[in-house]
Formats: sequence, structure tokens, C-alpha cells
Amino acid sequence: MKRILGIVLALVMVLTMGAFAEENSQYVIGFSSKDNSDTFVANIADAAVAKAEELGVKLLMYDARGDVNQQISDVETMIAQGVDAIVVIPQSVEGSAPVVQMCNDAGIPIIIDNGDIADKNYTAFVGCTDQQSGEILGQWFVDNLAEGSKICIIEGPMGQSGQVGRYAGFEAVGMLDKFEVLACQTANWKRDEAMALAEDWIVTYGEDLVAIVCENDDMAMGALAACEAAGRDDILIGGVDAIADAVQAVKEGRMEISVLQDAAGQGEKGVEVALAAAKGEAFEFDTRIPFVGLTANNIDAYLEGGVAAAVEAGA
Amino acid sequence: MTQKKALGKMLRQFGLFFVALIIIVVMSFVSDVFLKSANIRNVLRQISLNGILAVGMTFVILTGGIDLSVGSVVAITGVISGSIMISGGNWLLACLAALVISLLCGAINGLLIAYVGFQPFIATLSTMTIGRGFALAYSDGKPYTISNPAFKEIGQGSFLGIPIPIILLFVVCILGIVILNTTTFGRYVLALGGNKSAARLSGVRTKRVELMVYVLSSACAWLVGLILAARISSGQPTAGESYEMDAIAATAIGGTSMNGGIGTLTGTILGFVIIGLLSNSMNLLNINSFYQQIVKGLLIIIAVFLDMRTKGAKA
Repeated sequence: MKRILGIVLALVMVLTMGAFAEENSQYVIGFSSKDNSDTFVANIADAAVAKAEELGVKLLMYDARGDVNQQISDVETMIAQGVDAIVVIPQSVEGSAPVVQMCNDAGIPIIIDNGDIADKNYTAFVGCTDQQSGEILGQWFVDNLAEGSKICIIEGPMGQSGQVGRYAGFEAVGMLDKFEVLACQTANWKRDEAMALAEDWIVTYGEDLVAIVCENDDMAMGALAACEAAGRDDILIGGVDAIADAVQAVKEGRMEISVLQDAAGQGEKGVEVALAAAKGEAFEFDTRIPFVGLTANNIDAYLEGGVAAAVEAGA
Repeated sequence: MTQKKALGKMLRQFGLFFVALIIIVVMSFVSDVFLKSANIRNVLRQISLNGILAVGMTFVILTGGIDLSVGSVVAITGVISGSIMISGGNWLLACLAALVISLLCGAINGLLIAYVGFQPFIATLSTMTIGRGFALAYSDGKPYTISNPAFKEIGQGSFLGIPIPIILLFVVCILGIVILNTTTFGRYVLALGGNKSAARLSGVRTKRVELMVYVLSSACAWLVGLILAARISSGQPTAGESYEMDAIAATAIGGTSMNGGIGTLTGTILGFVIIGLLSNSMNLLNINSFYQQIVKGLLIIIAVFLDMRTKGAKA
């Protein structure tokens, strides 16, 4: 009897699982990415695609290739196709804002993923703000450097949400007040531009310069290369994104901190929330994916156990 | 060339030399690190990329053409050589494979322009876009980390205390001057830009010469691609964006007419040296990069204006 019950239960489970997938396959989610040539953004998009496949829901991926105008047309296209929910990684805080109204007018749930957007009337938000990453990065330097230390800052493209938010984060934790900022220039997220800046600074400020804080890892790698070429291993370097090179550099003790945003977590959660919204099921309005600074303390935990282990080990 | 014209040309080049001298004198008073050997090495290393591109660009512009695709060729070189080394290939093989693809890009430009009759701007605009797309598609948008020590020497190493990029720049400049001033090919390049029909009627194989200048420009872009990838230890599909603009700027400042036929490589050399000196000076003085762009633009206007006055013609 028990065995028969077991078989029946198993059958029921299989059938309902099939039904679950069957039910999901009716839904179509549109995903507007801002720029899949950016490694970090591509990781979010890849995770979203994988999650959609797992849930059995159809996902249409659109890549705006760094162009706000393209993103708006992409969303128009998705609305015209009658998708059931739309996930957007905003290219621009202000510039991408019209998509929220467009979706609301069309009665389609709109989920904002990863970045900030000016129009807050969206259905749900998944991700983490750029300010948080700036705060984590800034806080590490505030905790580890003496007051009045002389630092330089390398920024992203002026006006982009990553630059604005991370700089605001530096300000919020008092990094700009505690230290003397010798120079602050943009390197447009580019490794070669950051390297040229760091080379010039090392010559200009010499031994005074103790740290270079970078708003992303690619620029941090450029600054690091310049420091190492000049034999200045003493200069502390920090960045954001936890790209492979930076993780390796933190592991080897050549770089102090790389702030990790859980790209995969943001992509997966975005699709889950979109599906729930499409079905009319309950979902969180504001889901924050945890951020963690990768340092010498938790880099091994991260390499072994991933994001969750790194969060547990703490920065 | 009449004596008056010759005098005008001398004055102009002297003028450019004078501009460079003013920057050096002023900066040596304003900044106490400007004349330090470390800074001079920085300036030379930083101009090496733009300098090599500008030499190739000068040949192209002298024929009355333009090459917008060099930045994309820089990226293609980085990803091709990076991918080969990452999969365990020999670094020389990686360089050669990238050379083949680069020369192919140049040949496509040349064939479209010389044999099919495309306007150079349109042809190279297309190959610029295709090339960038190819670099992104080939690498899936992700950078290749380069750890091969022999390869990295190209960008980071020194010979007799002189950084290798500077030696390569020097070699390219000398080769360029020799080719332009002492070979029949060089004379044909100038003849082609002066008057294409006259050159063809007097027996110059104009099509072949035009094809060759684009191949030459791509070869320069290949070398820059190698140096850049070696310098930042990474082959990045987004590398080299807008590099073509700086190369064109150096050529224009150096007094090469955009209509072709008139110009010298010594002018171009002064052009990229001045751009490099300005950008280094403004970094040392911590002048915001926004103003750096304004200054660069103004410099082109002034240089071309002087050019018009000394030649008594429209640039």
C-alpha cells in the first residue's frame, strides 16, 4: 500500500511539475539589456536567459548596445509584440525613464533590473544601487587608511549612473572628507586611459600618493599595471565588479578590494519577479541583491563557495 | 615648389616646433616633475600608440583618403592574439595570425576604395563598424586575459632602458619618413593626392598605390593593437575606440591637407608630440578632462588656420 501511495505521489508530482512548466510556457518575458558587450551586464543577461529556460518561460532578449534611443525602441517593439512582462536594465537614469510610462500605459508589468531609473512608478525593482557599491568601496578605505591620506580617484564616464552613484557613495561614507583627494579624473571605464592617468599621477605625486580608488575593475587593473611598472606596490587599489583579473589580483594580494555585485543573482531574480508579475502572483516590490567587497579576508571563501560564502565570511 | 611656399612650409613647421617648445618651457616652470626622466618616459610611452597610428594615417590622408577603421583593427588584433595565447598558442603565432587578419582588413578597405570606387570615408566607416562587431562577436564581448611574459614585453618591456613601445614608435617614424621621401611608392602617394588623373596618365598604378596605403595603415593598427594588448595584459573587444580620431587630429595639426597631396611626416610627428605633451601637462596640473577635450579641439582649429594662412588656400 505504501509503495502504491509512493508511486501515486510521485506520479502526481511529475504531472504537476509538467503542468507547472506547461503553464509557464504560455508566458513571454521581454528583456531589454543596456549593453551586452559589457562583461558584467552580459553576465546578468546570461543568467536571465538560463533562468527563463529553467522555468520554461519564453524570453526575448534585446540589447540596446549602449544607446538609450535603441533601448526605448526595443521596449516599444516588445510592447507591440504583446509580451506579458518586461525587464529593463536602464542604460540611463533619466534617458531610459520613458519606458516606465510606456509599459504602464500598455498595462504591462515593468521590472527595473540592476540600475537606477528616474521614474519610480515601475512594477518592481531588482538589484542594487550604484551608490551602495561606492559606499562599500569607500568604507574599506575609510576603515583602512589614516586620516588625511592622499588619494586619487578614477571615475567612470561623467554623468553615467555608475559614476554618479559610486561617487555619491564615496561622499556618503565620508571618504572625500577623511582623505585629501589629490586628483579625480575620468578614464571612461577604460583600462588604457586609467593606466595613463595613474602613470602621470605616480610621477606627479610620488611617495605622497597612497591609494587609487577606481569606480570599476577594468580601470583598477590599468592603475595597478601602472603602479607595478613603476615599482609602487605600496599603493592601495580598489575597484568594483569582481572581474576575473581583479579577483585574481585580490587573491594574490596585489589589489586590496573589488566590490562584487551578484550579476547572476540579479538576472535570475529579475526573471522570477517578472514571471510572478505576469501571472498576477505575489512578489517583492523592491528586491535587493546583496553586495560584498572581496578582500583578502573572504576571497578564498568566494573562490570556493561563490557569492553566498563570501557574504558569510564578510569583507 | 616656389621659394615663398618653401619658406611658408618652414615657418609652419617651425611654428609647430615652437608650440611644443612653449609647452615644455612653461611646464618645466609650473611642474617640478615635468622634466623628470620618469615623466618623459611616460609621455613617450603614451604617445607611442597614437604616433604609430598617425604615421599610417598620414599616408592615407596624403592620397586624399581617410581610414576610420584603425581603432577596430586595434581591437581585432587584441582579441585574436589574446584568444590564441589563452588557448595555449605560441605568442609569435598569435601575433602573426592577428597580422594576417589586420592586413586583410586593410586590403578590404583598399579594394573597396581603389577598385570598386567607394568613397574612403564610407568604405572605412563600414569596415570600422564591421570590425568592431567582429571583435565583439569573436570574443563574445569578453576580454582575454594575457599572461604570456614574452608577449607582455612588447608593451611593458625595455631595451637598453628604453621602453619597447617607444623604440617601435621610433622605428615606425624612421621607416615612414624613408618610404615617403626616398622611394617611388612615396612619390606616388604624394602624386596621387595632388592629382589622381594626372598621376594615372603619367603611368602611376594609382589603384595599387591606393590599396597599399590602406594595407600600410592597417599594419600600423596591428602593431598598436599588439602594444596595447601587451601593455594592459588583456585583449579587449572595446579597445581602441575613437583612436582614429586622435590619429586624424595629429595628422591635421601636423599640416597634412585633408584633400591630400600636401603634408609631411615630420609635421605629423610634431602633431602627436604636441597632443601628448598637452594631455600629460593637463594631467599633471589636474585639469578636468572636459577642458582637455576643448583644448585639443581648439588646437586643431588654430593649427589648420595657420596652415590656411601660410598656404593661402582652404584646408
